[in-house]
Amino acid sequence: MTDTPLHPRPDQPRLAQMAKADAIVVPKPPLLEQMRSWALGLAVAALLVWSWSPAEMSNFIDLFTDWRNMAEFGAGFLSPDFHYWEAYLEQMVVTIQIALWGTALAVVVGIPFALLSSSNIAPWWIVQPVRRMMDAFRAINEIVFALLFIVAVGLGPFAGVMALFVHNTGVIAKLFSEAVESIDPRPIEGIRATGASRLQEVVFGVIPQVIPLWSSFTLYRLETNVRSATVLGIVGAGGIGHFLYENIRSFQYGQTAAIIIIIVVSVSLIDIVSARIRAMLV
Amino acid sequence: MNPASPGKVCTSLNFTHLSCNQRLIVTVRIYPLVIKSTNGKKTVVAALRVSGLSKTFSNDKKALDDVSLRVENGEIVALIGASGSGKSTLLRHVSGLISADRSSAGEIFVFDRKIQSGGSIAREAADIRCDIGMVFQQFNLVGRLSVLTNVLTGLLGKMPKMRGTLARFNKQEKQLAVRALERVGIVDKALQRGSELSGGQQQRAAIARTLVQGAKMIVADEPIASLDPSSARRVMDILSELNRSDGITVVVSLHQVEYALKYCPRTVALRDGKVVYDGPSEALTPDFLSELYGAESEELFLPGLNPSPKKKQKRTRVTNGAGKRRNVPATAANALA
Repeated sequence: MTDTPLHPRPDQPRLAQMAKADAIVVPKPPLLEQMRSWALGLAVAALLVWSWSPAEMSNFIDLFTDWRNMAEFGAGFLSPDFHYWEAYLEQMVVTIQIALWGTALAVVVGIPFALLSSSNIAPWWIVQPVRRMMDAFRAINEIVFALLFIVAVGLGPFAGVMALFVHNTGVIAKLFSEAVESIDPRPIEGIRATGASRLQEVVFGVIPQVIPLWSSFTLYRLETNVRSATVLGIVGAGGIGHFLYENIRSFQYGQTAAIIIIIVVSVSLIDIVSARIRAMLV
Repeated sequence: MNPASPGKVCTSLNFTHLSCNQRLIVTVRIYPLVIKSTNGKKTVVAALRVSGLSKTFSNDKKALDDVSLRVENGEIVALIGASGSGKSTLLRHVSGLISADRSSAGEIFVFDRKIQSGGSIAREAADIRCDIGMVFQQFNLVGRLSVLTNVLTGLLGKMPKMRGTLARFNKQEKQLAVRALERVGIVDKALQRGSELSGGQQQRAAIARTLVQGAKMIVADEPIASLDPSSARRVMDILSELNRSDGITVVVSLHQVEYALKYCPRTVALRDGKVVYDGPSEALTPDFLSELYGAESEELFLPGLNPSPKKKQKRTRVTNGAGKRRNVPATAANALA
């Protein structure tokens, strides 16, 4: 058995090969494991069935019965109306500027929180409360924060900046602290052994190690924030979202199409540029 | 200047230690001694004083078991022992990077300042660490910072906190770092990143860091264990030269006894967290080592120093068998020269 070649030479008789193949036993996973994967599949199916009618999934038929609405929609999109392109572009630039400030503030404020929520830097009784606070920042969507800040500072881009800032502080703190927790502890020990203070250990031992990852995360968040900022205008927190919403509501499909094209092109451009920079950093 | 050490420096004869197995060995050595004078009473200040130190790790393994040790100012002492014998643990206690068992009464004094006792690190540990230059097996440089900046971090404990944190080093400080790099022979690498250097060069940069620090004692934790033989010799030469010409006390843990024989007059041997020998290195003959360590003593010698592969085979068989004493050329250290 052991000296049977894995690939029998072609000059051997076919039948003999078959007979030998029958003798080989293919190992099967134990029954318990098979049942576990079956149970998992069933559970997912049950969840989907449970959510079917609350999500009004039966309405999918409307997509086909009301095809004329869709066609009108599509026709409008096929003839984009760039008559007001200067205004759109100006608002797109404002959108990007909101994202820039929101990201910058989130990074500046997020770094100390990231360090305080890293278990290899701070004691647990600081780490746990800070982490929970950052969870809360992250759990609430930018749009909700935008609605709150509109009440506080009034309509306009600044409310959008604040909304992005608060939500992203939570995101940045988590991403950055994960980078901090995976660093090499030995250089920090080297710095500590010179008699440096705790803050100096962080400045000389931690920051140089995480800078590439931190910059990459920051660029990634900037991309995400430009996307998020395009919808902030819907609730009145500045940027191109306001035009977008107004045009959809007044059935101006041509102009809506123009705005969407501008958004897609700018977001893609920012994605491409930041992906290039990130590739250089890491 | 710290209050403990402004004594006057003189030289005197020093009679070392009875070895643990009652051999009376007297060596005559000349040390610069720091005399502390309190109320007219004069006492000699030891560079390092460890007493009753025990450390148990979470897996209930005793890494250090009632270790006591005294190192005089200006000495160069080797710390040998097989892997897991507690060398690194002891040295990391000395610089207060880890604390001893809470239950133990262990104390460590560095130049008469207590860095830890009863399992808690002294409040002024950071201040005391300024006097201790720590050299690690893995160099512990910050890879992304330039060699010059890595060396300059040695000044952090001594300069104003704010200026240090902002990395605003002035010209004199930079010149000091350059001079330290010149001494260890890698000044041409000053602007390269730490991670771009070879292991031996990184270790020399780490030594330059302790020089800039103005350390009065260098504690080196297996500084040559990850280096090739020629880099290892270079690093040991530098440590020994700093000891001789600058009077810096050096405590160096070594894996191989040959280096101890060549560079350090005194050796402290650890086994399973206990000091099993403390005395002149010349006494550490292969026979004596295998008496101390049994079969473990095998790993304390450099590989490749055996006269012929045949003999090596034979020797292994003997140790595996009855645990008899091995035959290692007593002139092993000569091979290093």
